[in-house]
Amino acid sequence: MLSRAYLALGERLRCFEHNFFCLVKVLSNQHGPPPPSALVLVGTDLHMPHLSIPYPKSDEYDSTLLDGFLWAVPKKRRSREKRLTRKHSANKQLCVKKLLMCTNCGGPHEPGRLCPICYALVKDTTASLYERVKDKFGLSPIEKEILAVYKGETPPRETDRVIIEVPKPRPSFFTRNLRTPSTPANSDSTTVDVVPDTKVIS
Amino acid sequence: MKLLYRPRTVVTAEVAKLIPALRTAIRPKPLKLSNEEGTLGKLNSLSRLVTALVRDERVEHTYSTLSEARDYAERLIAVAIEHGDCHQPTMELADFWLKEKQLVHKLFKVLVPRFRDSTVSYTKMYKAPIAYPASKYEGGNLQARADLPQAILELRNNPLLPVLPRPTPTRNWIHNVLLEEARKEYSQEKRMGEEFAALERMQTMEDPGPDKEID
Repeated sequence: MLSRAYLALGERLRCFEHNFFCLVKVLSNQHGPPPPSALVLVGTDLHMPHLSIPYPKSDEYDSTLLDGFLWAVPKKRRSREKRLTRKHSANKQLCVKKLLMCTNCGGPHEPGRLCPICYALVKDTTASLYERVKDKFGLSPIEKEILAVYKGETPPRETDRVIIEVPKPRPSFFTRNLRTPSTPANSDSTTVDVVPDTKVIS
Repeated sequence: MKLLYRPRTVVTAEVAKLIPALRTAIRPKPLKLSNEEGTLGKLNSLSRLVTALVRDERVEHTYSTLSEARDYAERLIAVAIEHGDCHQPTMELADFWLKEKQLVHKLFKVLVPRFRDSTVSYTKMYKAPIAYPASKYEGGNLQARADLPQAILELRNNPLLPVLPRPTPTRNWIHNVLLEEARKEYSQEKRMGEEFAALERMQTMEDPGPDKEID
Protein backbone atom coordinates (compact mmCIF):
# COMPACT_ATOMS: atom_id res chain seq x y z
CA MET A 1 0.00 0.00 0.00
CA LEU A 2 2.69 2.39 1.08
CA SER A 3 4.99 1.42 -1.79
CA ARG A 4 2.20 2.07 -4.29
CA ALA A 5 1.64 5.46 -2.79
CA TYR A 6 5.36 6.16 -3.03
CA LEU A 7 5.34 5.14 -6.69
CA ALA A 8 2.39 7.44 -7.47
CA LEU A 9 4.06 10.28 -5.62
CA GLY A 10 7.29 9.69 -7.52
CA GLU A 11 5.37 9.86 -10.83
CA ARG A 12 3.90 13.21 -9.83
CA LEU A 13 7.28 14.51 -8.75
CA ARG A 14 8.91 13.52 -12.03
CA CYS A 15 6.23 15.33 -13.88
CA PHE A 16 6.74 18.37 -11.66
CA GLU A 17 10.48 18.24 -12.23
CA HIS A 18 9.97 18.36 -15.97
CA ASN A 19 7.65 21.36 -15.69
CA PHE A 20 10.00 23.14 -13.31
CA PHE A 21 12.98 22.74 -15.64
CA CYS A 22 10.95 24.04 -18.49
CA LEU A 23 10.11 27.08 -16.34
CA VAL A 24 13.74 27.61 -15.42
CA LYS A 25 14.62 27.39 -19.11
CA VAL A 26 12.01 29.94 -20.04
CA LEU A 27 12.90 32.33 -17.25
CA SER A 28 16.66 32.18 -17.74
CA ASN A 29 16.25 32.17 -21.54
CA GLN A 30 18.94 29.54 -21.95
CA HIS A 31 18.94 26.94 -24.65
CA GLY A 32 22.14 25.20 -23.64
CA PRO A 33 22.83 21.88 -21.95
CA PRO A 34 20.53 20.47 -19.25
CA PRO A 35 20.88 21.87 -15.73
CA PRO A 36 23.36 20.37 -13.27
CA SER A 37 22.55 17.16 -11.47
CA ALA A 38 22.06 18.92 -8.16
CA LEU A 39 18.88 20.45 -9.49
CA VAL A 40 17.75 17.11 -10.85
CA LEU A 41 17.83 15.79 -7.36
CA VAL A 42 15.42 18.38 -6.13
CA GLY A 43 12.40 16.65 -4.81
CA THR A 44 14.00 13.22 -4.55
CA ASP A 45 14.28 13.57 -0.85
CA LEU A 46 11.61 10.95 -0.32
CA HIS A 47 13.54 8.33 -2.23
CA MET A 48 16.93 9.21 -0.85
CA PRO A 49 16.50 10.91 2.50
CA HIS A 50 20.25 10.76 3.21
CA LEU A 51 21.00 13.44 0.56
CA SER A 52 21.79 16.88 1.90
CA ILE A 53 19.66 18.85 -0.59
CA PRO A 54 16.37 19.39 1.16
CA TYR A 55 13.03 19.26 -0.57
CA PRO A 56 11.74 22.85 -0.81
CA LYS A 57 8.75 23.66 1.29
CA SER A 58 5.51 24.63 -0.36
CA ASP A 59 5.63 28.25 0.85
CA GLU A 60 9.01 28.79 -0.82
CA TYR A 61 7.43 28.55 -4.29
CA ASP A 62 5.62 31.48 -5.82
CA SER A 63 2.35 29.73 -6.44
CA THR A 64 1.18 32.34 -8.97
CA LEU A 65 4.16 31.53 -11.18
CA LEU A 66 3.30 27.90 -11.41
CA ASP A 67 -0.47 28.34 -11.68
CA GLY A 68 -1.58 28.34 -15.27
CA PHE A 69 1.87 27.45 -16.46
CA LEU A 70 1.75 25.99 -20.00
CA TRP A 71 -1.96 26.74 -20.37
CA ALA A 72 -2.61 29.28 -23.15
CA VAL A 73 0.41 29.42 -25.38
CA PRO A 74 0.70 29.37 -29.17
CA LYS A 75 0.93 25.81 -30.43
CA LYS A 76 2.13 26.66 -33.92
CA ARG A 77 4.40 29.30 -35.30
CA ARG A 78 2.44 32.15 -36.95
CA SER A 79 3.50 32.42 -40.55
CA ARG A 80 5.00 35.58 -42.01
CA GLU A 81 2.00 36.24 -44.24
CA LYS A 82 -0.45 36.01 -41.36
CA ARG A 83 1.76 38.13 -39.12
CA LEU A 84 2.10 40.88 -41.72
CA THR A 85 -1.62 40.76 -42.51
CA ARG A 86 -2.48 41.15 -38.85
CA LYS A 87 0.00 44.01 -38.59
CA HIS A 88 -0.84 46.00 -41.72
CA SER A 89 -4.36 44.90 -42.72
CA ALA A 90 -6.68 47.32 -44.46
CA ASN A 91 -8.88 48.04 -41.45
CA LYS A 92 -5.89 49.28 -39.45
CA GLN A 93 -4.91 51.89 -42.00
CA LEU A 94 -5.90 55.53 -42.04
CA CYS A 95 -7.34 56.15 -45.48
CA VAL A 96 -6.28 59.22 -47.39
CA LYS A 97 -9.24 61.47 -48.03
CA LYS A 98 -9.58 63.99 -50.77
CA LEU A 99 -9.67 67.55 -49.50
CA LEU A 100 -10.79 70.77 -51.15
CA MET A 101 -9.93 74.36 -50.30
CA CYS A 102 -12.78 76.52 -49.04
CA THR A 103 -13.39 79.46 -51.39
CA ASN A 104 -14.37 81.65 -48.44
CA CYS A 105 -11.68 81.07 -45.80
CA GLY A 106 -9.12 78.91 -47.57
CA GLY A 107 -9.34 76.12 -45.01
CA PRO A 108 -9.55 72.46 -46.00
CA HIS A 109 -12.89 70.67 -46.21
CA GLU A 110 -14.11 67.37 -47.57
CA PRO A 111 -15.92 67.42 -50.88
CA GLY A 112 -19.67 67.39 -50.37
CA ARG A 113 -19.41 68.68 -46.81
CA LEU A 114 -19.42 72.15 -45.32
CA CYS A 115 -16.22 73.91 -44.33
CA PRO A 116 -15.73 73.32 -40.57
CA ILE A 117 -14.12 76.73 -39.96
CA CYS A 118 -16.82 78.75 -41.74
CA TYR A 119 -19.64 76.69 -40.28
CA ALA A 120 -18.34 77.09 -36.72
CA LEU A 121 -18.29 80.89 -37.21
CA VAL A 122 -21.80 80.89 -38.68
CA LYS A 123 -23.09 78.67 -35.88
CA ASP A 124 -21.58 80.91 -33.21
CA THR A 125 -23.08 84.08 -34.69
CA THR A 126 -26.46 82.44 -35.28
CA ALA A 127 -26.62 81.34 -31.64
CA SER A 128 -26.42 84.98 -30.53
CA LEU A 129 -29.17 85.84 -33.03
CA TYR A 130 -31.39 83.13 -31.53
CA GLU A 131 -30.80 84.64 -28.08
CA ARG A 132 -31.88 88.08 -29.26
CA VAL A 133 -34.98 86.65 -30.94
CA LYS A 134 -35.85 84.79 -27.75
CA ASP A 135 -35.39 87.96 -25.68
CA LYS A 136 -37.53 89.99 -28.05
CA PHE A 137 -40.41 87.62 -28.73
CA GLY A 138 -40.43 85.10 -25.90
CA LEU A 139 -43.57 83.03 -26.26
CA SER A 140 -45.41 85.59 -28.39
CA PRO A 141 -45.90 84.63 -32.05
CA ILE A 142 -43.58 85.87 -34.79
CA GLU A 143 -45.77 87.39 -37.48
CA LYS A 144 -43.15 89.12 -39.64
CA GLU A 145 -39.91 88.22 -41.32
CA ILE A 146 -36.75 88.91 -39.34
CA LEU A 147 -33.91 91.12 -40.55
CA ALA A 148 -30.67 90.55 -38.67
CA VAL A 149 -28.42 93.59 -38.36
CA TYR A 150 -24.94 92.68 -37.20
CA LYS A 151 -22.48 94.78 -35.21
CA GLY A 152 -21.09 97.66 -37.24
CA GLU A 153 -23.90 97.61 -39.80
CA THR A 154 -26.53 100.30 -40.25
CA PRO A 155 -30.13 99.12 -40.34
CA PRO A 156 -32.24 100.20 -43.33
CA ARG A 157 -34.59 103.13 -42.79
CA GLU A 158 -37.72 101.65 -44.30
CA THR A 159 -38.39 97.96 -44.05
CA ASP A 160 -41.38 95.74 -43.45
CA ARG A 161 -39.28 93.31 -41.44
CA VAL A 162 -38.55 93.13 -37.74
CA ILE A 163 -35.02 94.42 -37.19
CA ILE A 164 -32.97 92.45 -34.68
CA GLU A 165 -29.54 93.75 -33.75
CA VAL A 166 -26.95 91.07 -33.15
CA PRO A 167 -24.06 92.02 -30.81
CA LYS A 168 -21.55 90.07 -32.89
CA PRO A 169 -20.07 91.21 -36.20
CA ARG A 170 -20.74 89.43 -39.43
CA PRO A 171 -18.05 86.74 -39.75
CA SER A 172 -15.22 87.53 -42.08
CA PHE A 173 -12.40 85.36 -43.28
CA PHE A 174 -9.78 88.07 -42.78
CA THR A 175 -7.67 87.93 -39.63
CA ARG A 176 -8.33 90.35 -36.82
CA ASN A 177 -5.39 92.68 -37.50
CA LEU A 178 -6.57 93.08 -41.08
CA ARG A 179 -10.16 93.76 -40.04
CA THR A 180 -9.44 96.56 -37.55
CA PRO A 181 -9.44 99.95 -39.31
CA SER A 182 -6.19 101.79 -38.65
CA THR A 183 -4.50 104.89 -40.04
CA PRO A 184 -0.85 105.67 -39.45
CA ALA A 185 -0.36 108.68 -37.17
CA ASN A 186 1.40 111.73 -38.63
CA SER A 187 4.66 112.26 -36.84
CA ASP A 188 6.30 115.70 -36.44
CA SER A 189 9.74 114.39 -35.72
CA THR A 190 12.35 115.16 -38.33
CA THR A 191 15.04 112.87 -37.04
CA VAL A 192 15.90 109.95 -39.21
CA ASP A 193 17.13 106.70 -37.81
CA VAL A 194 20.22 105.85 -39.79
CA VAL A 195 20.73 102.16 -40.20
CA PRO A 196 24.48 101.44 -40.00
CA ASP A 197 26.00 99.75 -43.00
CA THR A 198 26.97 96.18 -42.70
CA LYS A 199 30.68 95.73 -42.34
CA VAL A 200 32.40 93.96 -45.16
CA ILE A 201 34.90 91.50 -43.91
CA SER A 202 37.97 91.63 -46.10
CA MET B 1 -29.19 67.62 -53.49
CA LYS B 2 -28.72 64.45 -55.43
CA LEU B 3 -31.92 62.50 -55.88
CA LEU B 4 -31.41 59.18 -54.16
CA TYR B 5 -34.91 57.90 -54.72
CA ARG B 6 -37.07 58.12 -57.75
CA PRO B 7 -40.10 60.32 -57.02
CA ARG B 8 -43.36 58.47 -56.90
CA THR B 9 -45.33 59.31 -60.02
CA VAL B 10 -48.05 56.67 -59.96
CA VAL B 11 -50.84 58.64 -58.32
CA THR B 12 -54.49 58.40 -59.17
CA ALA B 13 -56.17 61.53 -60.44
CA GLU B 14 -58.36 62.00 -57.36
CA VAL B 15 -55.49 61.80 -54.89
CA ALA B 16 -53.35 64.10 -57.04
CA LYS B 17 -56.05 66.73 -56.69
CA LEU B 18 -56.19 66.36 -52.94
CA ILE B 19 -52.49 66.40 -52.10
CA PRO B 20 -50.16 69.13 -53.37
CA ALA B 21 -47.08 67.83 -55.18
CA LEU B 22 -43.79 67.92 -53.31
CA ARG B 23 -40.49 69.14 -54.75
CA THR B 24 -38.36 66.63 -52.90
CA ALA B 25 -37.68 63.01 -53.74
CA ILE B 26 -39.93 60.70 -51.76
CA ARG B 27 -38.64 57.28 -50.81
CA PRO B 28 -40.98 54.34 -51.51
CA LYS B 29 -41.18 53.32 -47.85
CA PRO B 30 -40.67 55.33 -44.66
CA LEU B 31 -37.41 54.74 -42.82
CA LYS B 32 -37.45 52.27 -39.94
CA LEU B 33 -36.41 54.71 -37.27
CA SER B 34 -36.29 52.81 -34.02
CA ASN B 35 -38.04 54.30 -31.03
CA GLU B 36 -38.85 52.87 -27.62
CA GLU B 37 -42.38 54.19 -27.69
CA GLY B 38 -43.17 52.72 -31.08
CA THR B 39 -44.65 54.52 -34.07
CA LEU B 40 -46.18 57.35 -32.07
CA GLY B 41 -42.88 58.00 -30.33
CA LYS B 42 -41.14 58.12 -33.69
CA LEU B 43 -43.68 60.63 -35.00
CA ASN B 44 -43.31 62.69 -31.83
CA SER B 45 -39.53 62.85 -32.21
CA LEU B 46 -39.98 63.83 -35.86
CA SER B 47 -42.49 66.50 -34.89
CA ARG B 48 -39.97 67.91 -32.42
CA LEU B 49 -37.56 68.28 -35.34
CA VAL B 50 -40.23 69.93 -37.53
CA THR B 51 -41.08 72.33 -34.70
CA ALA B 52 -37.42 73.22 -34.26
CA LEU B 53 -37.09 73.75 -38.02
CA VAL B 54 -40.01 76.19 -38.13
CA ARG B 55 -38.77 78.00 -35.00
CA ASP B 56 -35.02 78.22 -35.72
CA GLU B 57 -35.09 77.73 -39.52
CA ARG B 58 -32.01 75.51 -39.23
CA VAL B 59 -31.67 72.12 -37.51
CA GLU B 60 -28.82 69.70 -36.95
CA HIS B 61 -29.33 65.96 -36.64
CA THR B 62 -28.42 62.70 -38.33
CA TYR B 63 -28.90 62.60 -42.07
CA SER B 64 -31.50 59.83 -42.14
CA THR B 65 -33.72 61.34 -39.44
CA LEU B 66 -33.52 64.78 -41.00
CA SER B 67 -34.40 63.51 -44.46
CA GLU B 68 -37.47 61.88 -42.91
CA ALA B 69 -38.45 65.06 -41.04
CA ARG B 70 -37.85 67.08 -44.18
CA ASP B 71 -40.65 65.31 -46.05
CA TYR B 72 -43.15 66.06 -43.29
CA ALA B 73 -42.07 69.71 -43.11
CA GLU B 74 -42.41 70.07 -46.89
CA ARG B 75 -45.84 68.47 -46.75
CA LEU B 76 -46.95 70.80 -43.94
CA ILE B 77 -45.86 73.96 -45.79
CA ALA B 78 -47.34 72.75 -49.07
CA VAL B 79 -50.70 72.01 -47.48
CA ALA B 80 -50.64 75.36 -45.68
CA ILE B 81 -50.02 77.16 -48.98
CA GLU B 82 -52.71 75.12 -50.70
CA HIS B 83 -55.55 75.51 -48.20
CA GLY B 84 -54.73 78.45 -45.95
CA ASP B 85 -55.58 78.82 -42.29
CA CYS B 86 -59.38 78.47 -42.63
CA HIS B 87 -59.20 74.76 -43.40
CA GLN B 88 -59.82 72.41 -40.50
CA PRO B 89 -57.69 69.40 -41.64
CA THR B 90 -54.76 71.71 -42.33
CA MET B 91 -55.05 73.26 -38.89
CA GLU B 92 -55.17 69.78 -37.35
CA LEU B 93 -52.02 68.86 -39.26
CA ALA B 94 -50.30 72.04 -38.06
CA ASP B 95 -51.48 71.32 -34.53
CA PHE B 96 -49.90 67.87 -34.67
CA TRP B 97 -46.56 68.83 -36.19
CA LEU B 98 -45.95 72.08 -34.34
CA LYS B 99 -45.62 71.39 -30.64
CA GLU B 100 -45.21 75.10 -29.81
CA LYS B 101 -48.52 76.66 -30.73
CA GLN B 102 -47.20 80.17 -31.37
CA LEU B 103 -45.42 78.75 -34.40
CA VAL B 104 -48.77 78.13 -36.14
CA HIS B 105 -48.92 81.92 -36.60
CA LYS B 106 -45.42 81.89 -38.07
CA LEU B 107 -46.35 79.11 -40.46
CA PHE B 108 -49.30 80.97 -41.97
CA LYS B 109 -48.04 84.56 -41.69
CA VAL B 110 -44.34 84.22 -42.51
CA LEU B 111 -43.65 80.93 -44.27
CA VAL B 112 -46.73 80.81 -46.52
CA PRO B 113 -46.06 84.28 -48.05
CA ARG B 114 -42.37 83.43 -48.36
CA PHE B 115 -42.90 80.21 -50.27
CA ARG B 116 -46.10 81.00 -52.16
CA ASP B 117 -44.39 81.74 -55.48
CA SER B 118 -41.51 79.32 -54.98
CA THR B 119 -40.69 76.92 -57.79
CA VAL B 120 -38.17 74.83 -55.85
CA SER B 121 -38.35 72.89 -52.61
CA TYR B 122 -38.94 74.80 -49.39
CA THR B 123 -36.06 73.21 -47.50
CA LYS B 124 -32.45 72.41 -48.17
CA MET B 125 -30.06 69.87 -46.70
CA TYR B 126 -26.30 69.99 -46.21
CA LYS B 127 -23.78 67.52 -44.87
CA ALA B 128 -22.10 68.76 -41.73
CA PRO B 129 -18.32 68.72 -41.36
CA ILE B 130 -16.83 65.74 -39.52
CA ALA B 131 -15.01 66.65 -36.33
CA TYR B 132 -11.63 64.94 -36.35
CA PRO B 133 -10.19 62.86 -34.79
CA ALA B 134 -13.20 60.61 -35.22
CA SER B 135 -13.34 57.75 -32.78
CA LYS B 136 -14.45 54.82 -34.90
CA TYR B 137 -12.62 53.00 -37.61
CA GLU B 138 -15.02 50.93 -39.67
CA GLY B 139 -14.34 49.28 -42.96
CA GLY B 140 -11.18 51.24 -43.56
CA ASN B 141 -13.05 54.54 -43.43
CA LEU B 142 -13.15 57.13 -40.71
CA GLN B 143 -16.68 57.38 -39.41
CA ALA B 144 -18.23 60.30 -37.65
CA ARG B 145 -18.82 60.18 -33.94
CA ALA B 146 -22.32 59.06 -33.10
CA ASP B 147 -23.03 62.07 -30.90
CA LEU B 148 -22.13 64.64 -33.55
CA PRO B 149 -24.55 66.09 -36.07
CA GLN B 150 -24.14 64.67 -39.53
CA ALA B 151 -26.47 66.88 -41.51
CA ILE B 152 -28.11 70.29 -41.49
CA LEU B 153 -31.66 71.02 -42.60
CA GLU B 154 -32.78 74.58 -43.21
CA LEU B 155 -35.64 76.55 -44.70
CA ARG B 156 -34.80 78.43 -47.85
CA ASN B 157 -34.58 82.25 -47.90
CA ASN B 158 -34.03 82.34 -44.15
CA PRO B 159 -32.71 85.44 -42.37
CA LEU B 160 -29.69 83.57 -40.98
CA LEU B 161 -26.14 83.71 -42.27
CA PRO B 162 -25.62 81.42 -45.26
CA VAL B 163 -23.69 78.21 -44.56
CA LEU B 164 -22.32 77.97 -48.09
CA PRO B 165 -19.79 80.52 -49.35
CA ARG B 166 -20.72 82.91 -52.11
CA PRO B 167 -20.38 81.26 -55.51
CA THR B 168 -17.09 82.04 -57.18
CA PRO B 169 -17.47 83.91 -60.48
CA THR B 170 -16.66 81.90 -63.59
CA ARG B 171 -16.22 82.92 -67.20
CA ASN B 172 -19.55 81.30 -68.07
CA TRP B 173 -21.51 83.88 -66.06
CA ILE B 174 -23.56 86.09 -68.36
CA HIS B 175 -21.88 89.37 -67.44
CA ASN B 176 -18.45 87.79 -67.92
CA VAL B 177 -19.50 86.51 -71.35
CA LEU B 178 -20.78 89.99 -72.30
CA LEU B 179 -17.62 91.70 -71.03
CA GLU B 180 -15.44 89.25 -72.95
CA GLU B 181 -17.36 89.92 -76.16
CA ALA B 182 -17.12 93.69 -75.63
CA ARG B 183 -13.38 93.36 -75.09
CA LYS B 184 -13.01 91.37 -78.30
CA GLU B 185 -15.07 93.90 -80.26
CA TYR B 186 -13.05 96.81 -78.91
CA SER B 187 -9.72 95.19 -79.75
CA GLN B 188 -10.96 94.26 -83.22
CA GLU B 189 -12.09 97.84 -83.91
CA LYS B 190 -8.78 99.16 -82.67
CA ARG B 191 -6.86 96.79 -84.92
CA MET B 192 -9.03 97.67 -87.93
CA GLY B 193 -8.48 101.37 -87.31
CA GLU B 194 -4.71 100.88 -87.10
CA GLU B 195 -4.69 98.85 -90.28
CA PHE B 196 -6.79 101.47 -92.06
CA ALA B 197 -4.45 104.25 -90.98
CA ALA B 198 -1.42 102.25 -92.12
CA LEU B 199 -3.06 101.63 -95.47
CA GLU B 200 -3.78 105.33 -95.93
CA ARG B 201 -0.19 106.17 -95.11
CA MET B 202 1.06 103.67 -97.66
CA GLN B 203 -1.24 105.12 -100.29
CA THR B 204 0.00 108.65 -99.65
CA MET B 205 3.61 107.47 -99.98
CA GLU B 206 2.96 105.51 -103.15
CA ASP B 207 0.82 108.23 -104.62
CA PRO B 208 2.89 110.06 -107.27
CA GLY B 209 0.98 113.27 -106.73
CA PRO B 210 -0.04 115.85 -109.27
CA ASP B 211 3.51 117.14 -109.77
CA LYS B 212 5.04 113.84 -110.89
CA GLU B 213 4.61 112.60 -114.39
CA ILE B 214 3.53 109.13 -115.19
CA ASP B 215 5.58 107.21 -117.74
